[in-house]
Amino acid sequence: MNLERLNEHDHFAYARAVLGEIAHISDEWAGIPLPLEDHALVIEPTYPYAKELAKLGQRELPPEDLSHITKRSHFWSTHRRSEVLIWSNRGKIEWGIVPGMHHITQDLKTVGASVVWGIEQETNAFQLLAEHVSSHQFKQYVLTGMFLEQSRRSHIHYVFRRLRPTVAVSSQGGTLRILAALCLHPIAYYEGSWAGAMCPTDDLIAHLMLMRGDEHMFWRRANQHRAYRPEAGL
Amino acid sequence: MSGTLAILNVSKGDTKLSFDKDKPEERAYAARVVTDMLKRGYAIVIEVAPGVYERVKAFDPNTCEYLISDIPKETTAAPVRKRGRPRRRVDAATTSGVGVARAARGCAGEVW
Repeated sequence: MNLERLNEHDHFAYARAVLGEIAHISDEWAGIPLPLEDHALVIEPTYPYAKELAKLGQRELPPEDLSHITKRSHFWSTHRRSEVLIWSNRGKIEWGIVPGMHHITQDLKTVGASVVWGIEQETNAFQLLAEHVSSHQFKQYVLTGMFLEQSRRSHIHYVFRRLRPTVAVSSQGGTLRILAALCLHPIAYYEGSWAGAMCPTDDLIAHLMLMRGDEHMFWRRANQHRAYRPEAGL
Repeated sequence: MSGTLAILNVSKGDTKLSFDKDKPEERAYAARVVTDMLKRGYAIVIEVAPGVYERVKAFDPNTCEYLISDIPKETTAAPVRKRGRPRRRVDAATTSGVGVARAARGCAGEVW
């Protein structure tokens, strides 16, 4: 099946192409993320169209008067698999729980957001990845959606995973220990999903390149999730 | 070997810039784009030796050279003190790299 034929069946191909042209004219070298109904975009705040694009997928809720509520504390409860919130309501201490994200909800939202990617973009990303990893790593990635690499600087092992945060593992002292799951998407991601504005392999290449080129910056720019948190995707 | 820089892109997967010395127009365009990318906070990572990658700190558009951090070799002579870390020049026409836009982190998990 050729590219034209694939794009005929991809209802977002035209929108992607138009945004690509606008991005080219306006010197947005990484492109413009495609907004989706009911999938709010979380955009890097310094991106030129960040506010406008973020508004497009959000639902407008009536403003609530919360002036009598003061946030006191919050913590993660492994037992309840929820965030426990504590607040004071007109001087009275109250608490409640917010369940942690559910894997299947996150997965389904990712499937929903996947309409913005095209086969062409992902194929290009595959080719780029193949240029920068060993044939063994590339084979691992194609067959399992993940591959491993050890940092030359810190000797930390990284498990780069398609559509999941990268897992940093330390092997010091002969035992394996998960340090963190590092979540990062160039430009933007769709809230409540594993989906970034870029196709999955491009997101993975971004992780790989930042780790190789500036590991410190990779950790600084990524959200660092502990292994027990659902956001780690473990 | 002519150096290329792949910029990760939403609409195309990636776009390639060429620093081919035989194509001065493409080279001038690539120099303009790289200069602008660095100004906007893009991370550009280049392969400086097989399997060794470094993040670009600056770019010289006149010579089309990347400037990367350099680790000085041990010498017996007393080091000349200069401000900032020493930098090494890498010809953009001889290396490949990847440009990554500023990142939006991801999956915050924060309820408050």
